[in-house]
Amino acid sequence: MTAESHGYGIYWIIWGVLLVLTFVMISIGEANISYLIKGALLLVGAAAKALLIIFYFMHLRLEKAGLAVIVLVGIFLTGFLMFALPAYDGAHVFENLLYR
Amino acid sequence: MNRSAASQVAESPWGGGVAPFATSWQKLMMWIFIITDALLFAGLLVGYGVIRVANGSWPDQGEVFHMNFIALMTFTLITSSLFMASAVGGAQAGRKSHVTLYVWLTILGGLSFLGMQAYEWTTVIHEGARLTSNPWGVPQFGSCFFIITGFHGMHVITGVTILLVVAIRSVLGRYSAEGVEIAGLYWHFVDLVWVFIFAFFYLI
Repeated sequence: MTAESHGYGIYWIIWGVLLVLTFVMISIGEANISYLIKGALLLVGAAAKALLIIFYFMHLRLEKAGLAVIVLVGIFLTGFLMFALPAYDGAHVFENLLYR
Repeated sequence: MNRSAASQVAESPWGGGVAPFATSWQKLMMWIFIITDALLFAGLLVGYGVIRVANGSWPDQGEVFHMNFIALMTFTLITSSLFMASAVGGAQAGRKSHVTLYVWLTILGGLSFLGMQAYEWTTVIHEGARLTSNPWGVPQFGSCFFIITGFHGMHVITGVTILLVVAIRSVLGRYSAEGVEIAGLYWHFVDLVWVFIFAFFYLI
């Protein structure tokens, strides 16, 4: 039953890390820094939490690599493209606001 | 085709075998559903991002929501995910009472989250927020809030329903380890979506 006890232990560790990341992200959200840096830090934090959940809670690390590629590319690349395609328009508006 | 040849085919992804990626079709379909559902939320969040950037001004979330309360909602969902992972572990080890206990704890977490969300919605609706207008700023704030958290809330309701079925089946002793695992995949996904909503709707 070593695999089993190891299994539960890792869930508690991941739970703790997720909580710590949550509190770090709340502090970043309340910090008085530029939106660009705040957005980038929060994106990294959210992606880190997402990967921990996907790989450890959802056991993607135990599946075949091909499935992990499909899931990660499917979600993150398409999500990125979805953002990148309208981002030019958004950035244009954003620039006008910055230099107004 | 002899048995070893068949298992060899099953081992290679999409090799025409009965089990691509050596998973059951049920689990594979849940993963594919999760990808498409993630893209639904990606679309909602990107739409929100474009609306927000194009508007320039946006209400200060700290004034609208109680951040400690939102943090408590996040804590509840992450903890319910921990319970779910324990239930899946128990199912794989064949410990029935463990599965039953932790699936019920997960359901309790989900119901607490839904209760808190209902309270949050009631509060902001009471303060005058609607789909078309709100007291804090640009009208799109209200529609983004209700649609994004509403879609997520519906997913939590679906998750609780699935878990209730798993819990009843496990009480009756009619659960399979893989059935619990697939229900768990969906539950963790609901948690995963909240991570992004929390970061991009509430924090930034």
